[in-house]
Amino acid sequence: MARTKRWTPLSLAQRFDAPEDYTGEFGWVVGYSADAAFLNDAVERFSRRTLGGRAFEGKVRLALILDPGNPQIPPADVPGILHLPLKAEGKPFRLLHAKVALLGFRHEAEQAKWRMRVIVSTGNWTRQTLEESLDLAWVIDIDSQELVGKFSDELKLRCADFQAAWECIDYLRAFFDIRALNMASDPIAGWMASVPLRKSWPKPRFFDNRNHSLLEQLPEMVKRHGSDTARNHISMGSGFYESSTTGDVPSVPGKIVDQLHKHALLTNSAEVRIFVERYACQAVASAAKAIHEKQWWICSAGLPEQVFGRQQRSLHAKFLFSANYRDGSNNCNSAWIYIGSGNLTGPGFANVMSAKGGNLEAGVVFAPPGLEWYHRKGIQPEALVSNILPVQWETSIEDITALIAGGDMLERHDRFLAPPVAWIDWKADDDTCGWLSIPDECDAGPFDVLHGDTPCQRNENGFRWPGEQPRQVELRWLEGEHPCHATVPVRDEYGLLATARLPRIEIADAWPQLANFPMPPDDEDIPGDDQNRGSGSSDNTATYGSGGNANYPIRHMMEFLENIADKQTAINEADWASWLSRLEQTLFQMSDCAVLNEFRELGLNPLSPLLEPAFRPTFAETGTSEAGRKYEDVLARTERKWGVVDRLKLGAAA
Amino acid sequence: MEWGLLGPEKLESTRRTRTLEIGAAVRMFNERAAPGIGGAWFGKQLVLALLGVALAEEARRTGRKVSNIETANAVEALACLLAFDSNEWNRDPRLRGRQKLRGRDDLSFAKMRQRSFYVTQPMRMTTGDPLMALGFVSCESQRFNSFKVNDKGREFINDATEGFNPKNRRVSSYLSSWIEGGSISRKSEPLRQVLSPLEPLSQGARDILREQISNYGEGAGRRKAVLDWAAKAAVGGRSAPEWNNRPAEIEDKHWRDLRAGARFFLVRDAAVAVLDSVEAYIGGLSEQCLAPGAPPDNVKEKLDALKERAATFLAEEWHPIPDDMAENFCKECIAMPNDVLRSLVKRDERVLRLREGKIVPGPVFRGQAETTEVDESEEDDSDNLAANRWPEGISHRINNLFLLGQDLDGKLNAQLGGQQ
Repeated sequence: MARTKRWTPLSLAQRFDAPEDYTGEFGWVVGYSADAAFLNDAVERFSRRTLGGRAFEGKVRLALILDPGNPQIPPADVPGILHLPLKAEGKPFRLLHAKVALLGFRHEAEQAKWRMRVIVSTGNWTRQTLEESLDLAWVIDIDSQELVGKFSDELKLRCADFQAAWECIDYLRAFFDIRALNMASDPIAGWMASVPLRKSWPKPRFFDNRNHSLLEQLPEMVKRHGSDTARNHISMGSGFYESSTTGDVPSVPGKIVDQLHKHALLTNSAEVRIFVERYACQAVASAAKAIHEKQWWICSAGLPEQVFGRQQRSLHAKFLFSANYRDGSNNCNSAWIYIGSGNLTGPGFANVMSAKGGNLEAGVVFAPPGLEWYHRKGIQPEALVSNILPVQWETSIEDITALIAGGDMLERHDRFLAPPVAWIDWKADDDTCGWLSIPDECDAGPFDVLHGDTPCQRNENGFRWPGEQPRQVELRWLEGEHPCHATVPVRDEYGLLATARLPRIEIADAWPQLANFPMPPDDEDIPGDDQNRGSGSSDNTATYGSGGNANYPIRHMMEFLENIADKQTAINEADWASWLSRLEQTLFQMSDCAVLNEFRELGLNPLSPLLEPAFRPTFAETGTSEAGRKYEDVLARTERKWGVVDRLKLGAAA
Repeated sequence: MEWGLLGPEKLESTRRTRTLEIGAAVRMFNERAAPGIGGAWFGKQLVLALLGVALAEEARRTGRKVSNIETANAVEALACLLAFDSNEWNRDPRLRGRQKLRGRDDLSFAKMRQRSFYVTQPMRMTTGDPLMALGFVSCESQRFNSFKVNDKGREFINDATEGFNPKNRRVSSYLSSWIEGGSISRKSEPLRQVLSPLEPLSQGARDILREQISNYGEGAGRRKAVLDWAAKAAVGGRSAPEWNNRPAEIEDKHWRDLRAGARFFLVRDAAVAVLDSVEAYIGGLSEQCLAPGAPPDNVKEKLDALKERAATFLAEEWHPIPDDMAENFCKECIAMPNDVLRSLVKRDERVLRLREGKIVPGPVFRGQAETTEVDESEEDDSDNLAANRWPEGISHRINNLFLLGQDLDGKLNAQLGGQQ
């Protein structure tokens, strides 16, 4: 029997997938809420690096700006993500409700090539969006290669959208603590600078409510991107409507219809459909009678079986869809659509952003071609409007007692405020403890570092940490009279944030850590992370033959050094800094390995061949270049760490 | 521009594994029960992993940059895909990737070596220990990527692939050309037969595997004892043996290890049940937190059960795990309920964690008990098969070795209720 292929649009996390031949380099993610389950999925798709690989790498891939009511997502929970706290100066919005991501991907082979992506979502960056809710997204990409040719109108429009989204994110960044981001590793500002913007070019589809409410801007947006025709149909959907005790028509849907009438974008007799979540539709439940009197339809959200099978999902999407319907035609004529974060409520849609009464909301208005009202034989799944929006035309809710108001949106307090320092530096004393010190870059007020519930002792070296290097620590400080807590990442001696503790390794384990560069090693090649491994077991070490390790120290070491040379002479200059970091980290981990102990006993320094020009890439062949000097610094530090500074150089002995 | 409804996605549940900082003790008990057998429970798992290593070695010799892991994963993915093609995509405990592989058309090695092609936890991950312990590879470290197939491993592969000639070529040569960029025939019957986990191993390969299990290396004695005991247990209709009735095949020390291990695993399971009940309780609250001093009745019941099991373990006179790792955990479990909850949550830190003295959701919190996605689970495909033959809590490796024994006797299909 032939299998009918189910049509499945991408999930919100799948929208983070790096394009073929590209890897996610850095991105900004703005939203109302997020959780670790979603973010781990998204950042793995974005960076193509697994949890273990990202913990090893210690690099921020996605910077997360959330409404400060969202509890902190500590750095070690989702390696590669840094959740940024709100600065103490306060915020310009009631809630940060916009859900926008700007992602930057770099070409794997040709480092100068990049691609960027804007995602405007109605869903939060949470597991619930993936598994339970009905949500929408709008996504555009732009590629560096597109900017060298002729600019079509469509490309000009995308440029405008990228600039508008970036401008909104850039504005927000000023209210959040970005000290821990190593700005050098954020290429987005640079890439955005090469996306042109001209006054004469089309205005963006992306809009937000920083200066004018979405409602106020709506008619102009529709005329600009659609046309100024009056349509005879509008569908409205929202996860939330305002609560009401009066029984009147909910004010915002009413205002939207009025605005569109006023600008002749909707006919007076237009069909109006309100799509609701049957069990939580707030004002619509109490106003159902008044709505029916206006001859509007109240409908349950559409749930295309093509996409969800028999799964139940709850409506969370916020959208407007308006078009002309003509007898005898299946086409949605003059269609336009709004998708965005703004619920059809006062703070969501009718208010301008303000600290007291208006959220920060963002969305898009666009005119999709080729949509059709009803299913017909041969129709493409994505052309059927009820397949790509949560609408349906079959049923409406006549029995108004079936509607339940549900709960209001929960009030949240600001819970994640910027601590006095954005990270803390680690210096090991010995294997069992170390010091946590305030970074020079941070000008910090008083605070405690907590170990469990106990503050760590402090002296001129910093805070005494009674254990192995932590990936993150909890800080406690006073904001006015209020005690605050936050977790900050620990920066290790290689300048990496919240890295997994690196165990000592033998020479046979060292090469796999380097071989995959610039990708992290396979999870199974990262020693000491039992949680991510199968039954590979550390207790078996004595059983199976590692025996050959120290037998031929010079041959082993030379093989290892030749592998390094082979690898690093082919490395791209753009990757040089991160290669040096990986190299130093790995060489330090080998400090106590059996082969090296043999060298020390023989009085030999095995590192010297790596200084030979033939072992180095052209751009770092000598210490006269910056790249070469940094490389020599790494080797000098490693010699000290290995305790072989004054020993006979290997080349001289061999 | 792309826009529209967002598709569904079910997040993996494997990341929720709770190790409770007793992973080392768990592994040691397993190792004492059936040394070096890992999660392997049928012979093809070892053949496929070993074949992957051999092919990767060969490809590297000709200058290609491929790792053992990605090659072995691709071979396993191919094997499962061919098997699914042949069984109309029905579930089978010997196959993984039913969701991921369905609808895959591009079977080039370049595509199949990618991490996203197949499940994140292939069966290959459980074969590292057995390949070393049964003497099929030589290695300078325990990392799968450092494995090299030794003479015995080559003999094993040869016997397992002899006589199967896809497109009139030897299996290794046919697959090598696939790795170099050649196409693969999805319809090749010899290829399916030699790779499919649903097809039995050749008699020669079975003989080699039995010999290595029973006679190679220092764990052989215990493995052979379990294999013999299991063979007897295979004679049907028998209830699980009692702990006070040691079977003749198992030595006294081994039996004590098995019993202490079983009791310890039961304590671990009860501790997880406590945490699950706290998670479910917190999941139903609007302010998601719980003071450890005020557990609800359901949690108290689970705590009582935990205490009883921990006391049973501590009453054992046989404690083979060094550093009192297992005992310390069990002692924590019989403390005051308040302290038990705090220490369990501290050990967890994944689903639940302590913040300012209260239990709050951790990074993989869901707020409800969840069903595990069979497709992705780590070592437990075999756990529901024939497991009721053994005393409660016994190391899953006993059952694995039992099933492996059935495979060596050519009886695995019958055991699984399938058809030849």
